[in-house]
Amino acid sequence: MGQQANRSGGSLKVLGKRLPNLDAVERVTGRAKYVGDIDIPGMLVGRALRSAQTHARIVSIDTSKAEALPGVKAVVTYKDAPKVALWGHRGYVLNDRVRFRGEAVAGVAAVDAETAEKALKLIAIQYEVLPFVIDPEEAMKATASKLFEDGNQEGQARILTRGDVAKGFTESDKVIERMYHCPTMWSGSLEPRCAIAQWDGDRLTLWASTQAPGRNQDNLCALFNLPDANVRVIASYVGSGFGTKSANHMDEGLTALLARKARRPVKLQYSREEEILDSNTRFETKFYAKVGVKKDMSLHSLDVRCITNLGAYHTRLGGLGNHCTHVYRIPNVRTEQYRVHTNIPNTGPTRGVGDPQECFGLESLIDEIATEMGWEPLEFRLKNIKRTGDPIARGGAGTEDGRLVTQVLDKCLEEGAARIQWSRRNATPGAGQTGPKMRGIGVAATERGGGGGQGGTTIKVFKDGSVVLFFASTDIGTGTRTTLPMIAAETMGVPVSSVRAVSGDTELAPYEGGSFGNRTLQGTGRAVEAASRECLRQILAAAGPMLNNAAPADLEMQDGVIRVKGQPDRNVALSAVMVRRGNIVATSITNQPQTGMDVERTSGAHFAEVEVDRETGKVQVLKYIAAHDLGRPMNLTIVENQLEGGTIQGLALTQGEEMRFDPRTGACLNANFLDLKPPTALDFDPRMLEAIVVENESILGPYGAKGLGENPTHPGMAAIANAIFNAAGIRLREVPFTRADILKALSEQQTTPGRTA
Amino acid sequence: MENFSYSRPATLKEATAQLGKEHGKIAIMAGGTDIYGGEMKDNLLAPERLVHIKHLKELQGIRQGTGSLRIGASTLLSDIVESPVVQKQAPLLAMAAGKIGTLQIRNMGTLGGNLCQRPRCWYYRNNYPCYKHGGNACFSAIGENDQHAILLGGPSFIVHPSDSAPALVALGASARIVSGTGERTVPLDKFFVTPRENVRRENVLLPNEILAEIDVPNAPAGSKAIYVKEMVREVWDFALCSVAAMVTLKDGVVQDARIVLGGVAPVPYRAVKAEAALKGKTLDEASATAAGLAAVDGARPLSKNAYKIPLTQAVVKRALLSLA
Repeated sequence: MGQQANRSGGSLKVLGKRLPNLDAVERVTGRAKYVGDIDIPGMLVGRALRSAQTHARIVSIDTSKAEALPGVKAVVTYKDAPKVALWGHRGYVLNDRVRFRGEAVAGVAAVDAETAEKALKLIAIQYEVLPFVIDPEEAMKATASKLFEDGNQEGQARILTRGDVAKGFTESDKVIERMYHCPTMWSGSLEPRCAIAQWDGDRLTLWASTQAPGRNQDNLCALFNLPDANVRVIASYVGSGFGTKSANHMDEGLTALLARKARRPVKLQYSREEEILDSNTRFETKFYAKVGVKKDMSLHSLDVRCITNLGAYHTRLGGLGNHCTHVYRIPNVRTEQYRVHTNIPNTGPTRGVGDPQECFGLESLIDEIATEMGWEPLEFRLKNIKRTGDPIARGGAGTEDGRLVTQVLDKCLEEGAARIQWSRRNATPGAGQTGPKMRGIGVAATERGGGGGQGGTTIKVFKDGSVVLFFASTDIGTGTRTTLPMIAAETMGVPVSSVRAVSGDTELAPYEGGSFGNRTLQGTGRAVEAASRECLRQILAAAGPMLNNAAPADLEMQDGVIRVKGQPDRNVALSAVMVRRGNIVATSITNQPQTGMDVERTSGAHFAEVEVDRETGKVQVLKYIAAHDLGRPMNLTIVENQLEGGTIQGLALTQGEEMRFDPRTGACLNANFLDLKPPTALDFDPRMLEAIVVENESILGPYGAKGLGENPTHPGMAAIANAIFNAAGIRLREVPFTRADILKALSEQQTTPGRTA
Repeated sequence: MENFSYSRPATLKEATAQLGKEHGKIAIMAGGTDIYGGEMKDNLLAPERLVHIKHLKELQGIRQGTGSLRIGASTLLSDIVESPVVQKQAPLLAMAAGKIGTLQIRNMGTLGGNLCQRPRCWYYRNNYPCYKHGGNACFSAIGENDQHAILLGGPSFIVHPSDSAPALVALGASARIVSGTGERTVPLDKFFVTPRENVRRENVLLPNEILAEIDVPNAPAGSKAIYVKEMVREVWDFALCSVAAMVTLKDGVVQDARIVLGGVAPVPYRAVKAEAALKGKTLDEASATAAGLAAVDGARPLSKNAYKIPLTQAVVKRALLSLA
C-alpha cells in the first residue's frame, strides 16, 4: 500500500487503518436487536398461507372458519390487498392468481403461532388449475401457458449494438459459438425476512430486515395512500441482504395489512423454507454467445443472446451487466436480452445481480477462443482489456461516448498472476499429469460500476463533543456503520470512538434509496464527508473567539482538540467549545458528481488453482487469489471481509445452491440447507484464499474510495471452470459443477480419440 | 407440526407397553434429529404420541460382551466416535460414526436413530404420495434422481442414508429387538429390507418393537478396515456413495473381505461379488480395481445417477488400496 494521503496532501489519521466493526461486540454477544428480537406490547403473530399449486386461478376463497377461530384477530386475502404493484414487480401484496408454488395467498394474525397456523388450515380455497411452465425458452413459445395477459416476456428484447457483428464475423479469422447456463440459485440470506407493523391512527411504523428503508417507505405510502411523513421504516440491524432485501417485498405490505385490520401490532417472520422460496432468487440465464478473433490476437466481434428466467413477477432487472461491452476492446458487439416470466419463485437482485452469470459466460468464452487459437489466455486478456483512457459507453447505449478513467484491471491481472505463480499452469490443458489428481490454474476478469448516486446524512455534535451520524441506508454486513463514522472522524478530526452511527431510520435521516449496488460508501460516504466539513467549519468558527480570535482558516482539529496551526500550545478542547456553542447539526444531501466524459468503473481478477480427481469427479480449490480495485481502502479489515465473503459466495455457486424444480409439478424440491448445499466452513478453507487490494484512487468517492460489495461474487464460476479446463481438459458450461457433470465430461473425453485439450 | 402427547417412560418395559399396532401413530424418539427435527417439523409424520427412549439406562452405554461389544441403541453417536473400546475393537464403526452429519448432530443423535432414520429422498421429504407415504409411485424414477439407487432399486429407488449401517453390516453385527411380549435377535444384514420385501419400511421393526442393542463382534484379529464417504460437502451431508471395507490379510494375500456400500441401494449393500473377487488375491492395484468393478456389477442407473457407478468403483478401489 502506498502513502495514505488525502487529496489536500495531508496524511490520513483514521482511514486506511484496520478497525474492527464498531458494533461487532453487540452482534456477537447477541445484544444487537434484529427485527425478530423486538417485542411490542399486544403484538400478534402473523403467518402466510402458501399455495400448493404452481399455476392457478383462485375461484373462491372462504376465510370464515379461520376468522371464527378464537384468538384469530385478522385474516386477509387478495380482496384486502391494494391494487398497487410492488416495486419492480408485476404483482400485488396478494393476488387472485398463483404464479409459483409457495406464493402467499392469504395472511392470518393471531394471538400465538399455534392459533395462526391452525387458522391457515381452515382457509378453504378453490382453484382453477392452469398449465405451468418453468423453462424460460419454453415460456417464450407461442403455445406456452401464459402468466400474464400480455404474454410471458417482460418488455421488449433489450438490444445493444456497437459496430456490425455480422461484418465483424466475416472479417474474423476464427469464430466459435457456445452456450453457458446458470440455473436458478438461492440468494444466500441467513436472516429470514421479518417485519413488524404498528399503526397509530393513519401513521404506520414498520420495523423490517431491509436494505432499503427508503424504498419500503415509498411503497407503503403508495399501498396505503399515505403522505411520506406518516410512514416510518426502521432497520437497525440487518442479518444480511445480498440484494434480496433491496426493495419492498410482499411480506412487509402483508404485515401492515394484517396490523391495520387487527388494530394491533403484528410480527411476521419467515421460516427458512419461506425465505428460500419467497424472498428473491438469483435468476437463471441461458447465455448463447458467438465470438470472432483476428490472427493478431485481437477480439473482433461478439454476439450474445441471453435469456433470463425472471420467475413469477420480477420486472426490473434480469438483463446483462456490462461485461460484454466494458471489459474488452471489441469493435463489434451486439447483445440481445430476453427477460421471461415462468412459474418458478420470484427472482430479484442478488449480489452481483446478472454480473456473475454474464462473467461466467464471457470469461469462459474468452478462455475457449484462446484455447482454439493456441493463445495463452492471460496474455490474450491483457492484450484486449480496456485500460485507462480507452473509449467506453457513458450510458446504457452501445456508443462509446466516454473515456475510461482510474481503471486498473491490468494491475489486477498482473498482481494476481504473480501471486498465484501463473507460469506454473499447464501449457497444454490436462496434459503431462500422472495419477488421478490433476491440477490446473484458471483466471477470470470482472468489472462493475463503483457505486454512488444520491446520498444523505444528518450529523449531530453534542455539547460534550460526541457525535451521532444518522443515515437511512443500512449496514447489511458491509461495515458501513463503521466506515462512515471513520469518514466523519477523519474529516472532523475527532476520535472514532466518539462517533456513533444510527442507520436505517427514514424518520431521522434524509431520504435515501438504500444499500445496494456498491453504492453506500460512495453515495452516503460523500454526504458524510460534506456534512462533517460543515460541522468542522462551525466548530472552528466557534473556537476562534476562545483562541484570541484566531481566524478559522488558521485552526485545525485533531483528536478532538482545536489548535492554531503551527502553534500546538494554543489549543482548546472540542468539549469546551461545544459547551459554549450548545450543539451543532449539519445535513448534507449529495448527488453523483459531474465527471463530463470521464467514466469510472471498478475491476477485479480472480485466479484459481484446483485439483480435479479424475476418478471421483471431486474438485478441490487449492489456492485462490482475488485481486480487486476498490479505489483507496477505507478500512482494510472490512475490505478483506468483503473480498473474502463475496469470493466464497461466488465459489459456492460452483458447488451447489441450485434450486431444483420437479419437472412434473414445478415444485422446488430442495428448499432447505441440507439439500441446497450451501458451503460449510470446511468446504472452502479460508487459508487457500488471498485477497489483494490493488493500489488506486477514485475520482468520485470520499477520500478516493470505490464501492466493492458486489464484485468479488462475479468471477468465481468462470475462474473455477477455466481452472478445471486447465487441469483436466474438460469444459464445463453449466453450474454447479457436479460429480455427475465432471465424471460424464471425463468419460466423453476418454471416448473421443484424438480430441485435443 | 400437529399437537402430540409426549411420554417419558421410566423403563424399557414401560416404553414397549406404550407402543401400538400401527407405524406412525405412536412414534419412538431417541435423539430426535430426524423424527422431530425432520419428519414432524416437515409434516411427514403426525404421531398422536411420542415415546422418548433416549434417557433409558437399559438402552445406553457400551459394554463388553463375549468377543463383542454390546452398544445400547440410545448411545450417542459422539460417544461411539470417542470411545476407546470401539476404536480398539471395532474401529470401522468409530470411523463411520464420525462421518455422520455434523458434530452437533452426533451430539444429539443415537446409534439406533442412525440405523432407523427414514430416507432422504426429496420426494419423500416433500411429502409426495410415494410408496413410502402409502402411495403407489416412486417419483424419482422419472424425476430428479441423481441421488437415488443404482442397485436393488425398485419399486422404490431410495438409498439407505445411514453411515453406521454399512460398517455394522461389514462387522457382522446383530440387532436385539424388544417388544412387550419378548425379544428377538436379527443379524443386521437381515434387519434392513429392500423395497421388494416391504416398500413402506426400511427395516423389520414392527410397530410394537424397539431396537434395543447392537451386538458388534470384535473385528477379526489381523483385519484392517476403513470407511470412505463421498459427499457434495465436506460435512453435514449424506453419502453420494460410501464404502465400509474390512480385509484380513496374510502375507499380503486376502483371507477374508467384507465390502458394504452405502448411498447406492435401498439397504446397506453387501458387495459379495467384490468380496469373492478379492479372496485369495494379493491386495494390489489390479485386485482392488477388479473388486471395484465387481462391486457395481448389475448396477442399473436411472436417468441422472450413472455417475455413481464410476464413483463407487473408484471409492471401493481406493478404500481397499489404503488397507494394502
